[in-house]
Amino acid sequence: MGISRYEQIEVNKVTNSVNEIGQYTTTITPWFATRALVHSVKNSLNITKEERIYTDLVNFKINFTPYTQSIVDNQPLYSITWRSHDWRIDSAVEADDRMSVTLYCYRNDPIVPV
Amino acid sequence: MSLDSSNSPFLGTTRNPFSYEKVEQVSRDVSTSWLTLDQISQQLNLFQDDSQADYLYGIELATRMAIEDYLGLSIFAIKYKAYYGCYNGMIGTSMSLDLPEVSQPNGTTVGVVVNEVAYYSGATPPVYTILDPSSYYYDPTGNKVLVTGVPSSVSQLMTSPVVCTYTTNASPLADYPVIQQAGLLLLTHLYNNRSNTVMGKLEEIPFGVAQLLRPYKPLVM
Repeated sequence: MGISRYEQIEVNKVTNSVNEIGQYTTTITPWFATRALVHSVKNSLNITKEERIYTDLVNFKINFTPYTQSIVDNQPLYSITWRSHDWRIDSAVEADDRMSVTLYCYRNDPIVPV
Repeated sequence: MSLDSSNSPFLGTTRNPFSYEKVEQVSRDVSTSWLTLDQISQQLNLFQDDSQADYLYGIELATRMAIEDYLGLSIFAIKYKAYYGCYNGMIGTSMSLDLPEVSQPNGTTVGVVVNEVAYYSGATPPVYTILDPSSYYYDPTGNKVLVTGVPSSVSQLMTSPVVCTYTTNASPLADYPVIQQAGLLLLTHLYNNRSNTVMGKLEEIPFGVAQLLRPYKPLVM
């Protein structure tokens, strides 16, 4: 049985826009810090002919609150900072009793040549 | 060994049963927080997520009142009104009015303030008459108010014609970390369990709320 622990995370707001020369930009602004039960940390590797692709997955379980409900409702608008990395929300699952929210988050490491 | 009196409210000994016949809370703080939002946010791992602050404020008040009621402890001042019976033999003698809840002195602040002692007269309808403060005093050693000279005009028909209104001030125990931790445990329970029913059976943890508070719960002898 795995043991999950509370760890500090920061929730950020993500804003996507287009700058004056037509480039897509992403702005990440810290929103609030909270604590999440962190579990199922998984780092995986795909090796293609030319490169190695590292993909990290993690689950954050946090309390269901008005703030976290808005994350569920608009998950592309938010990201999580944990262990100094920026994690994007892949899935957001509300518990049936509306007591917790589980965020499945991923991040990509830089692609490394084989 | 103390002597029980079945003929209360006489004698200076510990009395059981106590002499009050009815108790009312007439004033109680239902708006001031005891545990801080920072303590609560840390306890619930909400940290800077303050989007439930109003909800947490409500269950904090309920938690504080539950601790006060469980221990008979004033975390904030509470005003009570206690009612006592009176019959012919008591008139002109010294009466002991046992106070149902008391508080201990906190530094320079006294534990109990007697606001007034009054009686209902034998007139029809009875007249609520306040006694002169020089005719009674609070005995902190016996948790009682000693009254001398209840006049013969006291009602002989009313069930509890003597009334003591008093205030228990905030107890120093309210600042004890162990009592605050018990409050945080209880608050966590109320936060996590918002229904009166659950599918499974909940089990208490060792050193839970009752165990932390037990040394501070006064024995009723």
